[in-house]
Amino acid sequence: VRRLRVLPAVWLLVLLAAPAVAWLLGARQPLLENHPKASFPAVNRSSLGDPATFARLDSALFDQLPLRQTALDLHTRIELDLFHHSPNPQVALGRNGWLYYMPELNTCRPEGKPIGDPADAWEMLARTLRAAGYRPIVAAPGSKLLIHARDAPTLDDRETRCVRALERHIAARLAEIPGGLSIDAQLRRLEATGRPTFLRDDSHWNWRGRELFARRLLEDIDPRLARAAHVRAGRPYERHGDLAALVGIRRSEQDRLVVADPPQWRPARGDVVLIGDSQLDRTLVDRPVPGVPSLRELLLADQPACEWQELGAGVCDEQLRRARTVLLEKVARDVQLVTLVCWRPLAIAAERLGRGTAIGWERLGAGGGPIGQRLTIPASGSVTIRVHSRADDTAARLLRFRILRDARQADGTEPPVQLVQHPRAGPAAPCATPASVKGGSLLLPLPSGRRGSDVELELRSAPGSQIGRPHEIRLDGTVSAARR
Amino acid sequence: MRPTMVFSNPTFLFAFLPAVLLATWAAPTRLRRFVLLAASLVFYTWGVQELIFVVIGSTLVDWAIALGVRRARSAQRPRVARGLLVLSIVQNLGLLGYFKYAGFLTQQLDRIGSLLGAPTPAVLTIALPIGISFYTFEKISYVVDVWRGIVAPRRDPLDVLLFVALFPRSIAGPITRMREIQADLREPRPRVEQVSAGAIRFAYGLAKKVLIADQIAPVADAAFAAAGGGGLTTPAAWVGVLAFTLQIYFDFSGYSDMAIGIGQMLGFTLPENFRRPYSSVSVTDYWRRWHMTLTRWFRDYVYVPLGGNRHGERTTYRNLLIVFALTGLWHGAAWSFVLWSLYHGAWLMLERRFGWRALEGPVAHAALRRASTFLIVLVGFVMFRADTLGHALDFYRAMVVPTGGATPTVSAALDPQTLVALAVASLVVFAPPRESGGRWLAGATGRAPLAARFATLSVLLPLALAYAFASTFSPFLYFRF
Repeated sequence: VRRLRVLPAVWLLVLLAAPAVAWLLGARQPLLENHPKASFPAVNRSSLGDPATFARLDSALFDQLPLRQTALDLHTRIELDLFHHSPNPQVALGRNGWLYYMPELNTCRPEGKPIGDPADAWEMLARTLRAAGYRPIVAAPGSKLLIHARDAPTLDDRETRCVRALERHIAARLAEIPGGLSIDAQLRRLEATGRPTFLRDDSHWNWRGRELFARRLLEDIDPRLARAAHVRAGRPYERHGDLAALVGIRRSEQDRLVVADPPQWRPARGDVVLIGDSQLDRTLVDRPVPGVPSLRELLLADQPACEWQELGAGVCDEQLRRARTVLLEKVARDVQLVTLVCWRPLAIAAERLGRGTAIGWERLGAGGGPIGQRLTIPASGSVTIRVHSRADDTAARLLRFRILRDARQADGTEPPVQLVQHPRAGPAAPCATPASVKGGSLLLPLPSGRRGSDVELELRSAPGSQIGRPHEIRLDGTVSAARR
Repeated sequence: MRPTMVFSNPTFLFAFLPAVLLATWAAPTRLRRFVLLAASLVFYTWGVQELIFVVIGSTLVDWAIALGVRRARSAQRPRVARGLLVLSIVQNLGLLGYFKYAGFLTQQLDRIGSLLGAPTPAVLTIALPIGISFYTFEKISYVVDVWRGIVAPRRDPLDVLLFVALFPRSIAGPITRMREIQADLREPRPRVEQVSAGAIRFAYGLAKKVLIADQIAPVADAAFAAAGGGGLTTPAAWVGVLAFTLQIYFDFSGYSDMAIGIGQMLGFTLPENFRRPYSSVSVTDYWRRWHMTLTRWFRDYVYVPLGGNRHGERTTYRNLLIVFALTGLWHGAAWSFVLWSLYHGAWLMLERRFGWRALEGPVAHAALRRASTFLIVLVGFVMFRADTLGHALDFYRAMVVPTGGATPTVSAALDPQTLVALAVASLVVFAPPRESGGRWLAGATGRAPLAARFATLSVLLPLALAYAFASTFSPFLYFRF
């Protein structure tokens, strides 16, 4: 009886000591989160006075103790199987075990709402690149929630409708603009015939989506490359999905490789610059089975790749300048980022464009009226203007304002010349240069159908800065805008 | 923010606690107190770092003062004894005042100064050492009890250090008195029955904290966050405050259960802190069941010395007012805590005035009294949980001024698991009153408690440990008081 009485305490101790005992016996916890395991901090007299030491001790122990995966599995199984509820608010449970990534609805939420109309941004990027002599390929793949909708969970109807409308709007515009690439309609057709194009546990396409996208992409880069590569589905393999990892479950599903033949001909080094996200990575760069080369290794090995954040930071400027073909891919849920950084590739492309035609401009407000060849920023540091096109005011075009004199002090405490839009009708023009670099110019792209006079522009700078008369560069293809 | 090794933290559960239990049980009886003192200092240092020296220094001062008080009393020098007692109280309250209230005081001076356009001192930001309110009261009670002659002063300073730092209760109570554990301080002897009961009690407390309180918390958090943004509807406000009322009980009483359980496993019997408070039939009754060790501390060391109810109605009300104002301030340096406490004090006075404290009449009457007391407590918790008085007012407005529909963030937080946790919590709280679940589980005899013990250990404990291990760090609500 005495032995039985001690059982509760022994049982408690066994459970509490299990991870430490497992560790002593050599068990190690696998990497569960996508960050390196915390290491134990140095413990000495000075470090003991620092709260960070104890926080790091906590993290290190938490990361090192084995059996955490077992605990996570139990926790997740209860959430999923008993309550049919996702333990991670970023992941929603659909029907038949399908998982969905909730940030796909972000484009209709304040945190992910794009600036202006993202389709305008794609259009102006593509048109400017084309006018500057590049071969543009712009792609905004649709969301899993909307493409593979039959297993989607019941979500906020208003948000879903809004995202659907936005994605269809972008896809429709991509179909009209030079270099626009959208496979959404084809994916939907496959889905309609019962052939899923996304993975159940992943936010990305399965082999069908990847194969389709890779073929279209290569066709747009160079039809010769597409023919020689003969992209096709390869052998099956087991994939662990990113969404399954986000909810903490260990399960895999069958996918297939997308393979190609090594071609005799490839684009010259640096000819193609690849700017994309994980969807492009999964299609071209990913090597899910060791030993099987990726499509990029086979077909585009010498071509540089950039991420959107790098593009915004100017890391890819030189690669862009050297390239002939520019691929810009961003999944529809992240179009906010496109609208934030698109001014940069547009400005680089515009370096190749001619000067354009001078147009009229007028000053608004007190002392308003037509402006001559140059505008000097007054003591208030700000002037509001409006431009007047000479000819067709509805074609896609760029307005360029040259900075003739930057009156900033050398210490850089004053802001550069800034261009602020106050649209009177429609959304703000996309990809406008937010602020000048010394001696440069400001660009204001106007998509087709948008009148320049609809936008009031505020030019802000240090008093004394001078801005030259605006010039208009048409991007409708009627006049070759490129210098070469 | 300083890291804290609370009882549901994996570091505590899977490294510290098993190591301390094994070391204590394996150590010879005479060495156990050294093991426990070392463990307690490690535990405390984890939360206060370099401030551990302030805790140790202040404890040694109290140890010396207690010896001095005894000597002065033996030498028939009551004024010296009283002087030493005042010195101890001043040093303890001085430290508490500096760490807990100096920032608040400078904030108030700053506000007054800006209103009057007068210069003000800089607003101080001082990190609060965990558990300072708890151990300050314990140290004061020790010296006062020595002065009263109830407790003999400890000759060995390690005894007093262990009494103050003993880790199961050092950061969130129960507020313990020296006389309750002095017999075990020198040679803790955990008996088999005590250890087993402690293991069950600990498992029960952990389940309350991890499986109930932590699951409900997002609902309350979402509702109070929505009140700040002005998007809280009336139904969501009531659900939110109900969730918080249940959360705080399961969180705090779960912590107390764990503390009592660990204490038992180490050979100490710590006082009970809760006795089904939401079964109270009056607010007076509620304060006899909620945070009992705090209530009795204020009763024995403030209310009774002030005269209690011995000098007429007016003095009694004044004493109640003082006690409740201090109770509010003890909970936190904010006007919302003071108002919350005075709100309870006002109800207590009303009950005393109209004779509502005792339960009389039919059973239906009792149910009505229970329901009304719960409603009073629930409404009061809005002040307790709100960040500021303005925030509390926003919340009350949402509760009272009818606005239909749902608050999306609250609805999102009410997932199936949370609903089950809310249902279980409500069932436990609103079930017919009997003794506290933890005590019943660990001590009652018969088939029902045996089955409950088995279920607690075989299902709830592994589940709670898995949830604790799988979750990120989630601090207890009460550990900063």
